[in-house]
Amino acid sequence: MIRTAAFALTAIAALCSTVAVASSHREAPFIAGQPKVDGTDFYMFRSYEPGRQGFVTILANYMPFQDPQGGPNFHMFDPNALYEIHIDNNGDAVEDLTLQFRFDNASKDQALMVGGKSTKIPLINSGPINSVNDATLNVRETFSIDLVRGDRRGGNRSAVTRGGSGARFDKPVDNIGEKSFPGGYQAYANQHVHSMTLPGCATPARVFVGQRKESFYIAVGKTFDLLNLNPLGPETGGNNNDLEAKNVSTIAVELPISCITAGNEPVIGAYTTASVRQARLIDGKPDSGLGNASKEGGPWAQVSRLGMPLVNEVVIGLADKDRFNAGKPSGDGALIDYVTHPSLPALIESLFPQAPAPTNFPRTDLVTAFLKGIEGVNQPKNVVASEMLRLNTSTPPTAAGAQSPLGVAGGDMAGFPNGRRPADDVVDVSLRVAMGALCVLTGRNDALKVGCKPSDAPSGGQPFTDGVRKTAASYGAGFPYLTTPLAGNFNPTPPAGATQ
Amino acid sequence: MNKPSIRTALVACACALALAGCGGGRDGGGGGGDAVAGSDIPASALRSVQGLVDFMEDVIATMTGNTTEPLALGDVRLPTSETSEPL
Repeated sequence: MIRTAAFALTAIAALCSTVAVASSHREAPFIAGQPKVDGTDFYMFRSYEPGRQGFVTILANYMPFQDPQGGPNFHMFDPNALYEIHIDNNGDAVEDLTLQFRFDNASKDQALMVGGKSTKIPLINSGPINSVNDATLNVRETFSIDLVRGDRRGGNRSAVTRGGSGARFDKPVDNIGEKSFPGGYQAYANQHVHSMTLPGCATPARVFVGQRKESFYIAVGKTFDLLNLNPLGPETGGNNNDLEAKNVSTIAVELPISCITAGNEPVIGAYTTASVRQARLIDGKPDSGLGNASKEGGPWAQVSRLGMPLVNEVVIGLADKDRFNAGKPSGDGALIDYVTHPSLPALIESLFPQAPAPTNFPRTDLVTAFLKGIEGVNQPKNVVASEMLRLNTSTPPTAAGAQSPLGVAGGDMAGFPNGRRPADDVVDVSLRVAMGALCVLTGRNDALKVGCKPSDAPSGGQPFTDGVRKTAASYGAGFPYLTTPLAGNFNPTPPAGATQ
Repeated sequence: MNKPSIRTALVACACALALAGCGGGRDGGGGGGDAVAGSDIPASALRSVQGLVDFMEDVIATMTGNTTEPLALGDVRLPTSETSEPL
């Protein structure tokens, strides 16, 4: 039985309602062909690392379905793209703060003398790697960060500096394998957790950008196969996590709460976007060197957007997924029908007739949670309806060992949908809310003011699950919380019966 | 910028290319359509992001086909904007 108080916040998860698949992995037609700018997951939570409760951690993951064996180029961020994290700290659906990340991948043109000729090597490293910008690295990956106050394009932009000196940060090369990292990849990557100084903020923040083990968990294959699983089976161990052998690339920041909130409003909304130049010309005869295959120009055109998990994945119709990715929260009203009249609960009912979908239309329960947050939990005082992940920064964080993967639904007020932590089971929570869990929770008197009642949701009390569950113990206890990526020399045994 | 002039220039360039087999430096025509040395990109496309987008639209409209060779890009730097919305 899911507790009443817990369900109050699961309403927000309703936005992600319907069949839960990979949070936002290759979820739209255009972005499926642009993996370097494909946002996969977005997390935001009060830091629960001891001593860091005054901070908010934001993780923006990109480049889905990374096999560890990524050589020779591995997974560098796109130097022709603009990656952003937007924060709305007054609830008006317009960003107030934006962190912009710009990447540079500089070739070192390492070469060997072969028979008297200098021959460039085909690898990303020429020897073991131990330190930041090691001499054996053939490419130096760096990035800069700008803080924009106000409109993301027209606002006041200023550089974020690195611990008071310099404005470029080093990104670690991906986990190539044990021979390339004799001191261990974790020790090498940890050298790239940087202190950063935000303009106008007296308290230092932190940043890490690099490859991590994929943090999202789901039985994605069975889910897409017409929900070919038992949705009321075991919540843990019922199915395998299809992303267990994958990596992802993360942009991780830890920001002082005092520097990202405004006035007396403790609730912030946030989301990540990626943009590319509107014009691209392919060079039919590229010069030698990196980045010469094309030329980019024009304004930034947004091609990826991610706030709450699973929205574009399973709420927005196929024909509008590219449109959503190019959109801003202030324009979400144009797609409101996907929330008020969601298709996937009906699909679930068609697949499982014994689990009827909610009958209250429009789905005001989903509208309330999806666009505004829950009053008294994570709804800004002057909220303007819009889709983004919302976190009440005045809610104390829950220590890792005490976290419930069901978040608020499990009695853990610091969990999803009040922000989102890596271990929060957004799949199960989303399934339940899609099928009307909030209508059950609110009771006949609609105590939660979501506009429905238990009789509207015959299946609202069912513990729907995809059968995959993790806990905070599967993740790090401190920034950046996501764990060491699988090594690139990963050489698994082929499946039984496979022909070699 | 005069879009019809650029379109005409592009068509003229394509014809010239077919006849001469030159690899670059096509004549971009008048009205701001002269190609930058070493490339097939007219100067008008490099003056502003609007000019660039207009040029790209002309390329799409007039050069999409199965036989046209890629435009030579040379060392041109395409104009960018940090503040404009997509055009």
